[in-house]
Amino acid sequence: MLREILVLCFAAGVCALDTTAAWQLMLSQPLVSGTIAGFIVGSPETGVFVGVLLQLLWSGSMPLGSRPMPDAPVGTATGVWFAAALVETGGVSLSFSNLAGLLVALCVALAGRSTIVWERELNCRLMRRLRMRLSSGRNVNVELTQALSMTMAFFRGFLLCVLAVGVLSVLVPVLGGAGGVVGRDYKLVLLLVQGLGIGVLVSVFARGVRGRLPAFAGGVALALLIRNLAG
Amino acid sequence: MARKRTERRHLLGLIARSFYLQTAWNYEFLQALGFAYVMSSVGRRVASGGRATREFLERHTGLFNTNPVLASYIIGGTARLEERHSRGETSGAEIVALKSALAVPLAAVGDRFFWAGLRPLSGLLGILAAGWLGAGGALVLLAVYNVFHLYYRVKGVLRGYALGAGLVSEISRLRLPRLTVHVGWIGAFALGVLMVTAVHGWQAAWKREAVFVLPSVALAAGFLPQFLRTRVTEVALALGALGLLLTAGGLLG
Repeated sequence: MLREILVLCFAAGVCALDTTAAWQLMLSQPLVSGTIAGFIVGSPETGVFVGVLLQLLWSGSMPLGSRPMPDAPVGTATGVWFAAALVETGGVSLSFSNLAGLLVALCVALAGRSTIVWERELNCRLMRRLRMRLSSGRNVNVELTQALSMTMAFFRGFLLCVLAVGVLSVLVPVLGGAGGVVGRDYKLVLLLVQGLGIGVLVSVFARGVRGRLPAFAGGVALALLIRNLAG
Repeated sequence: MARKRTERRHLLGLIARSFYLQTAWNYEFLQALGFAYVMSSVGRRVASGGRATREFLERHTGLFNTNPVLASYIIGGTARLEERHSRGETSGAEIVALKSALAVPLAAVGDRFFWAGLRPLSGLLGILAAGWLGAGGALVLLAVYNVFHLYYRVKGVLRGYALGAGLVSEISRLRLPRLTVHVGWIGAFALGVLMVTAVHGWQAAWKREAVFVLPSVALAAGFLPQFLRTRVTEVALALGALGLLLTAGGLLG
């Protein structure tokens, strides 16, 4: 269990690096980090489900300029772990555990946003120090400063995940033990969240561009045709 | 032959380092440290220590910001100009001018294509694929995005290095604005498919009312005012809180 959590937090740290600090291969996208987290906690279906919902919600978030984004990869990894842990207790319905995982992911991602701002401020200090040394004619080591910054970015994601999992592990037995009380149907909320997420994509691809309407209608027609053919 | 091999090795090093351009992103100098880090491999070759190295670092630790993928063009071009500068063929001011002249147009083109177009599209296609392939959806997302991402990372450094200062005219010939339009069309098409698939999924798993509820919520959310659209996490959290209220209702009742 402890090993599984450490691997999860390590993966969250690596995916957090991918957001801005390195590579930007999109490992940080919720669908990818959710799937990875799902495999680590032994429940890929939960990972994909939570990942898809968060991917929909954050499709319109763009890492432009100084705007700090929610910490998607760490939030997703924690949310998937929480949902899978609740399922394991056997005391709650699947829709409740998915909703709880989603909520946890959103909360952790929002909390992570402030830590991104701190990280950037620390980077600023590192950079000021480097420039001060440079202007006073002393030797500077760009590679070392870069390595420090990279380490900081990784540990921000790793430690945030460790902290979130540590705090939330107290909640798992409490919610899991609630049994039938929390076993009601939460599908309506999940439907609304999915609708909201698709709405984000509508705002990205359809809003203000009438010319794209035929393409949208074509997609609808093709999907309906395939559905009818498939019976 | 040996010179060509060395040059290829240096360019590969530049490409590898370009992935770390934003490592030390900060509010005051933006991508400056990352750019200095990427160029420091060039600096070791062209600046012979002391004053030359200091001047080299001063040129590349100034404020810099552009799209991280298309920055590869500037990285390649700057590397070529630095080599010419070490032979006395160009001035330091010309290098700084090239960097600042290209940063804004590349940011405009790159952000529209990579952040506002390709990223949501690859996510959308990944989501659609996840419906059929499950965990394979993540691989589809990665493949769609990275085909373009890696192509422009590599091509940018190579073209930039080949053209040097001539890069400025190359930028106007980039095909990305046209590709951005195509990405929009594909995105709208895939969105249509997703809408039907989602409604069908809910209908089969739950209730017929999903046919009306899902598209209505999606359209309402799609046309929300800007300040609410940028707070989608908070809106989703509020919806989740609604779910918790249902739980509280269950506990009390």
